[in-house]
Amino acid sequence: MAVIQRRVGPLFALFFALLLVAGLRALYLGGPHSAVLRRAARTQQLTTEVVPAERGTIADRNGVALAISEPAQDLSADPYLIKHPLATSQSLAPLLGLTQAQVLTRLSRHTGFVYLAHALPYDAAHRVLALKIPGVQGSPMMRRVYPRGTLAAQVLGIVGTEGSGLSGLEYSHNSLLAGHAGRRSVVSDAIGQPISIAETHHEQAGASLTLTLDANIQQRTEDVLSAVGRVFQPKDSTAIVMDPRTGAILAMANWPPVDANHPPASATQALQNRAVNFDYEPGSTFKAFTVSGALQEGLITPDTGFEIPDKIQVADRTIHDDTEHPGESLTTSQILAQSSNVGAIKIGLLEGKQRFNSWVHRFGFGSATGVDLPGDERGATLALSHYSGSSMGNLPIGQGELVTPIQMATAYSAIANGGILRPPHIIGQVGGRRIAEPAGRRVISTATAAELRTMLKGVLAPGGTASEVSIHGYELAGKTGTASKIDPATGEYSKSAYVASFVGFAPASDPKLLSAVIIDEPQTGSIYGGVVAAPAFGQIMEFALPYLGIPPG
Amino acid sequence: MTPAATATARTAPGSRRRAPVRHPRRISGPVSSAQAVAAAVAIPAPAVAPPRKRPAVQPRRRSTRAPVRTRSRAASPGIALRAVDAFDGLSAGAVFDRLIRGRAWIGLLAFALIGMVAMQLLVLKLNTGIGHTLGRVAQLQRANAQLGIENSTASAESRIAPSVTTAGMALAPVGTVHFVAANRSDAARAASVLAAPIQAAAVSRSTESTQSAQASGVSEAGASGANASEPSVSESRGTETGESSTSPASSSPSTATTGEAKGESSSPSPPESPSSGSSATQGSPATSETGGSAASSSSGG
Repeated sequence: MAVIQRRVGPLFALFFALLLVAGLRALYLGGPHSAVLRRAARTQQLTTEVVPAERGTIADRNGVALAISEPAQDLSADPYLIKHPLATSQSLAPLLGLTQAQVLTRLSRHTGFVYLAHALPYDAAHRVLALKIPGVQGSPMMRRVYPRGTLAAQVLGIVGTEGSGLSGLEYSHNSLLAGHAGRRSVVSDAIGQPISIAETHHEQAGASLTLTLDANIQQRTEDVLSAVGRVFQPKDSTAIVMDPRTGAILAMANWPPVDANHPPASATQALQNRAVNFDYEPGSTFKAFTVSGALQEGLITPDTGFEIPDKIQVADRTIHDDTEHPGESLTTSQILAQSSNVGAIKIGLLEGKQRFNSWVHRFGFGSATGVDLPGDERGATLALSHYSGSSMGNLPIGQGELVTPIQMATAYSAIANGGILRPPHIIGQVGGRRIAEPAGRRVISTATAAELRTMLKGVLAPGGTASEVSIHGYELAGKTGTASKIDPATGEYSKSAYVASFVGFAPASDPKLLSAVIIDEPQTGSIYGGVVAAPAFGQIMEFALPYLGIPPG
Repeated sequence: MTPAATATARTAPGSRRRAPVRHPRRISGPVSSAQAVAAAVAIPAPAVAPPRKRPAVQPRRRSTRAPVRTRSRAASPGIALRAVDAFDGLSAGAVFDRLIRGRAWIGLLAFALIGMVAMQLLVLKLNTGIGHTLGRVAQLQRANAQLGIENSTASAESRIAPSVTTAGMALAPVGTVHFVAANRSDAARAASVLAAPIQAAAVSRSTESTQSAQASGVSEAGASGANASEPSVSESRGTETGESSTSPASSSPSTATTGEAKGESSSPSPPESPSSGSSATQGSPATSETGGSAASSSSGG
């Protein structure tokens, strides 16, 4: 027993000594040496990763992705840590899609940080990082991709390098789409495998948007505008296709096109969505509202006859019809069908400036339509107090007021749907939840709307200004417009710059589809709405009506 | 014969160092009342005063709860004291006492240590798994985005048009796709075509329905005539919505035919619908989904 006790004593002493050494070592590591070790651990083992939030997808009404985010990386380098810039640039250049000179220039800068590539697709970035070049690092981010390229580019907008929307829906719904980036601390072992992951901030993906747009109708509309662009070489053009019953926008096209994946390649002006922010004088397309007000007031009927001379004097102004003609007798319907300036002015004068002004505002002109797109212009209407003696000589024929294409489409929708002015909308669902259709307000009676639709059929009937446009099986209705633009140099109406437009719907008796086509400054060929814009309307509707399964009528 | 009595007898006064009193192995915790009584009986009264006056059985010092002065201040110490009490109670427990006196605690301690190490390893493994899963999530996210892009690109007409041309097909030019006109004879023709695969017994009914359809000037989906006992499905060609209506009815196909002209449910709708038959003949479109569309499609006048 004593022997055992004698052996246990030294053994205990040994272990105690070892424990003491270990304790002292622990004290040293935890005390004086702790700062160094903590620093080393931070750099070698502990990393704080930013988890980029996936930006919400934008899809059309059928679920076709129009804008989608994919993981990518921003690649950067610390030139001070690059020991062999020449060799490094040689190996990096082909992977980055840059020339060796470009990479070498960046790596030769006297700074601690240079960008090598922005939003490089993940696979490409992974190949670069796999080279394990000291000083080259990547930071994860989300890259915005527009799979259809130019399709609805002005409507969708673009996203900046920081991931924020800069225009279009990307801008106006940025807070919904962007989500919130997360952050997590990762402790890795010696071979880089994570052994501890702690989320300090949970990332939240952005909400997806489902639009009312139909990619196929949008594509067709853009194709038609491109064809118009080739033939008439306008300054720009825009077209809207919408369901007049709900205000849902099915297509909103702009020309010239913009590649949303490479926006810098396009002019800044081309990025604008002219459908909502192009102010123009509507010209004859406005006559429908002049007639509408008078019809609703009971001042006229579709068959009311007017003596129409070649010109009319209003205060100090003389307004001519488009073509010289002897005095003739036209009904209200014929005035609309033949787009008589004199006839429309006579109806406007019959209505009086107060009632006319009231009807202009009742149809929504002079105020934003409320469409869920950025840049929804109000247009410009003359205040009643500013009416001059000759105002009623040009306002009833669509001069002296500025409207936007979306305003015209919305106002015509009220005629098409039986008299309800409904704010247009382009967003159908947010995050899978259906958005309630905006409520409308009645502006004209159902009977007045029906009378107008019947009268507008005459525009596309023989003798009308767009008589050459027809679609097999469908009755069309609409109104042409050819408006002179103000010459900024002279302040007078230009003799060479016009806006050709057409707004129409089908089937005329029970409209289910409406389209507005506005061509700004056609340069070659014709300048008339009936020749430039109305055929484009016909081509768009010819595709869209059967495509949507809208029966003839 | 308790060790305590022996130890007491060997103790010489004034020689505490050389002849230390060998107390029995000190066991923490309260001595049971029987042991205490036995010890008290066994130990005689010392002749001289022991170097340290120590009772054989030291009364366990029980922590007494401090008088509560205020409720707010008493809450925290109370809990602490209760915890200490509980610990004391545990250490004083006979079970614990027996446990640490034997060798089982070695095994218990070894098990606990191994368990701790194993748990640490499991946590590490779990974290590694999380890391792998996150990597997999990112990979799937990339794949998903890539597939979404491919899907969108693949469905573009600009891609389809060359593909169909390569396959020897051609996209129908816009304007050539339209609703066709309907004739009165189309219904009979469709019915005759549909009659071929139908059983002989049903053919007669189909013929009846065809005649009925001809009489009312509307077309008929031949399938409904196949079996009168089955629900008859009428295609709403006469409507603009193109909705199909199912009649639970067992009534004759002619009932369905009457109703379909208006494009509404055949059974509930009155057969004397004013628009009955007129809409189809006026050129309502072929929005039906079945083969009957060929017979009933129209141009709209």
